[in-house]
Amino acid sequence: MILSSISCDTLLDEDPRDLIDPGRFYQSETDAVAAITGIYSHLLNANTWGIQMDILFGVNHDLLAPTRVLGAGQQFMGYRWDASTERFRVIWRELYQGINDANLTIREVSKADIPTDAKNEAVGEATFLRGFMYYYMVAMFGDVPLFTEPTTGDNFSMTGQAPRTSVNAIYQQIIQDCQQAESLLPDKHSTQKSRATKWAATALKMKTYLWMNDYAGAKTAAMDIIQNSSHKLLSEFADIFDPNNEFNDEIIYQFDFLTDQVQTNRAARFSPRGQDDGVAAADRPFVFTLGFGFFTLFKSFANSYAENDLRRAVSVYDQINPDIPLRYTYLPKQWRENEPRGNTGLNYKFYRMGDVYLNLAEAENELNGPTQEAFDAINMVRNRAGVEPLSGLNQEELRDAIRQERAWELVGEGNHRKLDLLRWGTLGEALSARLKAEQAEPVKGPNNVKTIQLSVDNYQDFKAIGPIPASEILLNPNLTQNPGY
Amino acid sequence: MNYKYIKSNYLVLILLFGLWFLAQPVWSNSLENDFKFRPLIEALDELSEQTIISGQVSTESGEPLIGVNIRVKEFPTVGTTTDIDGSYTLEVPDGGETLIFSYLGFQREEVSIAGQTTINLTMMEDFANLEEIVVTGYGTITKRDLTGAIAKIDVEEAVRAPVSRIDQAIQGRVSGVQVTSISGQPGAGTTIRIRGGNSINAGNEPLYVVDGFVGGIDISSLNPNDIESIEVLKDASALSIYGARGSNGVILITTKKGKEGRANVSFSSYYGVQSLARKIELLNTRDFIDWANAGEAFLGNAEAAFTPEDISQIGAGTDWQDVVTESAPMYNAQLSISGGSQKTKYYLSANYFDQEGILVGNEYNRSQLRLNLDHVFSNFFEMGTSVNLSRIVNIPQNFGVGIVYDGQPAIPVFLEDGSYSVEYPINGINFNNPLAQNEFIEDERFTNQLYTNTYLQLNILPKLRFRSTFGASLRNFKRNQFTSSQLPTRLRSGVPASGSVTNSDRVSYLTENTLNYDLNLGTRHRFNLLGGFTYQRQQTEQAQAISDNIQNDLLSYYGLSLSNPEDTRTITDFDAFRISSLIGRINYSLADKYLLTLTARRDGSSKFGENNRYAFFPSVALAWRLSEEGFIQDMNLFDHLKLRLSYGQSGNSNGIGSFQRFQTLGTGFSSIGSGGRAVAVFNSRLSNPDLKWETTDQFDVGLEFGFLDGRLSFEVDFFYKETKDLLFTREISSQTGFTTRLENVGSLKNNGVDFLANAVIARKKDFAWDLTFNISTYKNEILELGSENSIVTRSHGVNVSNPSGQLIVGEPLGIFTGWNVLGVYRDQDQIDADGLTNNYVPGEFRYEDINGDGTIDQNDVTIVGNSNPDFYGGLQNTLTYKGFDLSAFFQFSVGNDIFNERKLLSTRTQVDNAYATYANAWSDANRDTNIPVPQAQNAQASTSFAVEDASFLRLKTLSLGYEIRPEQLGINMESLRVYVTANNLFQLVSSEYSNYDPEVNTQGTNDRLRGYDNIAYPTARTLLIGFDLRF
Repeated sequence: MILSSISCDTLLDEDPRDLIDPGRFYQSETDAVAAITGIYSHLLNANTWGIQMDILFGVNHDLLAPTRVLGAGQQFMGYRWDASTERFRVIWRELYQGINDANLTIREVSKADIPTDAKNEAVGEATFLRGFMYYYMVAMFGDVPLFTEPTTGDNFSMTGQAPRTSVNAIYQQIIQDCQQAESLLPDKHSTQKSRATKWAATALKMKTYLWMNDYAGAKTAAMDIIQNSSHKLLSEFADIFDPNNEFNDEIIYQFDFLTDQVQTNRAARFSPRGQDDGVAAADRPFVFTLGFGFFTLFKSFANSYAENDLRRAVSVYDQINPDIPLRYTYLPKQWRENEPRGNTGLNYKFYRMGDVYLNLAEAENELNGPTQEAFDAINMVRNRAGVEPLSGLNQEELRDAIRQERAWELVGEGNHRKLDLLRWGTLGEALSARLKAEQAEPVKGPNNVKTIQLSVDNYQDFKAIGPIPASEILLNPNLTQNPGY
Repeated sequence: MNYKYIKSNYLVLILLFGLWFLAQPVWSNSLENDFKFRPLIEALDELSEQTIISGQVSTESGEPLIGVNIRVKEFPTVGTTTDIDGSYTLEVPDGGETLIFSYLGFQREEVSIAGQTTINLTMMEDFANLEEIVVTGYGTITKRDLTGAIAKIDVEEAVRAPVSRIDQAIQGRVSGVQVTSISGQPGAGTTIRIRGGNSINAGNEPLYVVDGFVGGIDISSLNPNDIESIEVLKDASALSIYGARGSNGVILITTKKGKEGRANVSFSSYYGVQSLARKIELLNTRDFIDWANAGEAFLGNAEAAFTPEDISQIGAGTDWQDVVTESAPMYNAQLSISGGSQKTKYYLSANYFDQEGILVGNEYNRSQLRLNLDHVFSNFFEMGTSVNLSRIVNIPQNFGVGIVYDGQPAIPVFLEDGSYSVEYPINGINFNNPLAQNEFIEDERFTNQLYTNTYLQLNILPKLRFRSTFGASLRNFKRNQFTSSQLPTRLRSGVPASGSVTNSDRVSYLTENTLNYDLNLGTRHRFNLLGGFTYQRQQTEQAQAISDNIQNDLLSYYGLSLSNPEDTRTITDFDAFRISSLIGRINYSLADKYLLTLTARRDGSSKFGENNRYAFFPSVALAWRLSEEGFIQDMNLFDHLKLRLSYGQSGNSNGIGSFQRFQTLGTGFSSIGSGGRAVAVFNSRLSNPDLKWETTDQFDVGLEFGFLDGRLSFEVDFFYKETKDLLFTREISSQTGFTTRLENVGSLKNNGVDFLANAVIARKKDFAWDLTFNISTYKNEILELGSENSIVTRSHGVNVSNPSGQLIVGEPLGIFTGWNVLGVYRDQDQIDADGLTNNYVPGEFRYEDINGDGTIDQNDVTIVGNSNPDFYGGLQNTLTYKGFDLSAFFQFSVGNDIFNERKLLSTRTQVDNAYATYANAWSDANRDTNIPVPQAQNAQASTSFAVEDASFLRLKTLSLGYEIRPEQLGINMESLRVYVTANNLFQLVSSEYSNYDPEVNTQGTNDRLRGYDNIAYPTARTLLIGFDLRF
């Protein structure tokens, strides 16, 4: 009776009912959104923009410095890393997980039987995010292995042994991904407000063209956003950072952090620490409650704002009131005054119109020299800041002016400063210049000088990009190490 | 808590029993009448010519032997047994020339008929018990014919110790089997290693087979007194029939069945008191204060930890060991009725076991019922069933055992206002007062288990039997937890009440279908052939509801719905696997001299990857009964002598999760601007279509020999095992989007010796003395760890972290690593003389600079200990004199180390107490010492200071009984035995050892971390009295 079924293989088939089988999951619009959210879970994550990317891009440049360099993260600040620095591996791992999730989402949702709009939004966003992640991988590591298909049990040994792909080939892929995403994504999301739109893809395309020195491409993309999107410069600079209106028209792309939901400690990193400043407890505003006062602005940079520059008040916090000055200079863009939570809900802003105008100015100046169009673009930003418009500069002077303007406009936002310095190839000089400027300044505390000194002492040109994690080379001998490491 | 309530129940039970006892003559008579029967089974073969032979069988002293098995050698199915007078009558078919008489405990005799019609026989005692039936996988065999290494446990002796679980009872009783308690807590499980550990990540616990049910039965549900026999299978020949689950060894448990005859009623009970077997020697209040103050001084803190005012306020202080331990009762009551006719046999038992823990607030009890029923319908058809029903209630104490060390003597239990003290006096941080925890935390665990196994057997031909079993094991586990908002530490920080309810349900089904054929070719060739098919499925479901914010304490864990919805979570899980197997075995005996066993199992499992769906495990065993050879018999030395050889494979698939081979997505959450959390789904595991079992190849040579009619018998086995395809979670190149994958890489080996000796020193009518001794040793070595040479399994340290546990190729599993302590720096001169670059100060440890580079760092970490014993074993003494019986069981282990994790934290002078030996800490006035200064900064990493010799010898059980003869009491009963038993009466422990019990592992059954001691639940010393009454 039972013996008759002995050799039947179905006897051994056990349905893994509490597992989500990637081959069967994507059945509805909700599933597609969950897959996109899955990719974001690698980005709003302590290993990436929760903490590590924020440190890597936050302070290793000439505008901000850590007040002290300590703990497990010390190798990550002041260019003291080497190929075994674990945090590079942590980022590498997390982003490749995100890339693989994007690849899986693209493949599976494309096949899924769901409404076309939802399908396009999901496939478009996964494609955009793949480009976004590769954009950062290239900025951090140079050539990296490129994958556009998800890893399975069958192809994993090949995937795992794949060699690095050239930066240029990856840029081509990013441009292609952006174009694909532009064709699929909507102009605006009304409920899931931080999801990528067509314009986020265009902004990424613009940035990538700048890296490729394809200024015509960059200019076209910037013009496209300015002329065809609903995004515009807000009339008041401070309104961009209104905690009650984070999804304002200025912002093209941002990550939606939620209070206490993602490990980030960002607010604690940036908000002031009472004991460092010797401020009596009674005098400390609420924002001091959890502050660790870790990342501070260089005084020489804070003092470089023109007196009437409206951006200063939003970007610089160096006194509680004129009677109570602070020893350090903090960056209030990165906290919400009434939310002294380390795991802040403050969104992480990547692309906004001020940035687009400055990129347009830069592209136009590189392409055609200091044309009126270039001046108009930078002056849009300057006018809003309440500083006098520029004119009559030659190409080189305008280039310098745009670079300086980007620092004033975008300090502490969207990883811009370090990425810009890398793109311009001026990271080393910028660090040295800052050290010189800081020594000229009457600095109140020793630490600012000390950490910039550290960066200057340890920075070498090869460190503009990070090491391929040594442990990854062990696991994939086909990976070559970056020169210098 | 409800101890009084339980005790009154106990009294009611005794009262009921008394009533039953008085009515007993009536009942037993009626039972006998009910079970009278007409013998139905007649001779199977109709034979034309027969010789009738009769006779009587008796012992040397002339007493008749009842139940002697007599069969005709030429016709193995023709036979009979002797009756109550030792008499028999047997019709011997034509051609029958020899009768074989066999009886357990007596030497087998072959008698030539040679035309006689009356054959009387005096049987000689056989102390080596060669006719004893040994249970094997899917069958039984006499010890005489056994070819594998199977140890049979003397269950009667083993259950003399009061145990809640049968695995605790086999500790020290079997050679090659190392049983370690996880803790002294009632109901706590054990770690069992049979011939060393085969695996690193897949588990090394043996497979339990209860009445043929493979796995799926939690042995905590069994009543130790229901157990008839326990066999431990050790070599490949015995294990390969359990295939992919066999390599860690198999423990076969057989429960009692009814025997033909009148109803046997037995009532037994014991009551005992447990107390702390050993107290940890800690600093008293005065010494602790000095220690803490010295620590603050060393740190350079101007303020003393305790000022003179503090000291006067503290007074005598608190001994937390006294606060949290108490002497605790345990008792057991069991009633069983068994008996039957030739057709129907029954065994019915009920049991209640109750044990309070010696830590306050801890209780454990088990209620259990068993029915074993067997019925012969006809010559052709037999059937039987077993049912076991149990409920376990387990209420742990709600504080960690470590409190005995964490609890400073300077902390009072209660403050002056009568409230619990809840902060450390020095730094004001929260102190988890254990009595407050017991009052304000609830944690109750209930396990209900129902197990049933039914067989039917078709005797197709007299020698051809088909047996089909169907069994099911159901296990329901429920846990209720609640922490009140009134818990002082919660009150302090305003944390609300929280609670959870967990429910899990496990169902395991097994059907086994075997065909068994006895074949005799001539008189010299005996075959037993077994073939079969088995199929098993196990499914577990779990649901858990959790609330982190219950607004009112009133309803406890039933108030989960009194919570904010966002603070409530539900978790559901599912797990299931199937195993489908073919088994086969050939036993061949040539002239009773040469024995061959060929065994194989083919396992298919839903857990295996699709490229490895089936596993095949063959084995071969040879045995040579040398004592049957003329040249050995001529030596006139050995009473019996057998050489065994076996080689084969078995597997281990425990480490594979049911769905581990599948690619799967995980769930979490992130945010996409919708105003709250959004569900996230992402890749979480890469599939592995090649995933498979670990395979152990084992070679075994065994020698069994006995002298003086088996009065002295020995068994020694040498084994060599190599395990390959070890399961490891291997790191993979993370550009794949995955960081690890479970793969079969790595190998290790074990070799060793098991030795067993039995001596019957005296066996006279009034006096008998039996002695059993076992001793074993093994060596273990890691051969390969995938691509790694070493893997850190545990690290310790505050400023610097050192690995304390590592897997290193070429070294055994279970080593400890750290810096080797040479002593304590007595002064600066000594430090200067060493000239290390480390900035050590006097009073800190002096370490060995292993690589001689002038600095102590990670490169100086070396092997500082080994948790594997050099040898271990046990010694059982059983003496009877007239009505008295005395049993003493010693257990020992020599050469094993433990890693005392408390010795790493010893610098936490602000929060912990310290060992009493630390009173001898270094100070300016006390420079020649091996105890570092309190707060020594370099003492906080893993060092040899934490390694302690955990060798021990203990008198595990000592029992004295007296059997009262019925005539002495003048009542209608068969026997009454009263006894007193002491458990853990005394132990010899190395002076190095600091904590409660050197035989524990606070890391549980984890094989990567063996021998860690972070202070486990203390072992109890138990004194109990009891009686066994039979009618």
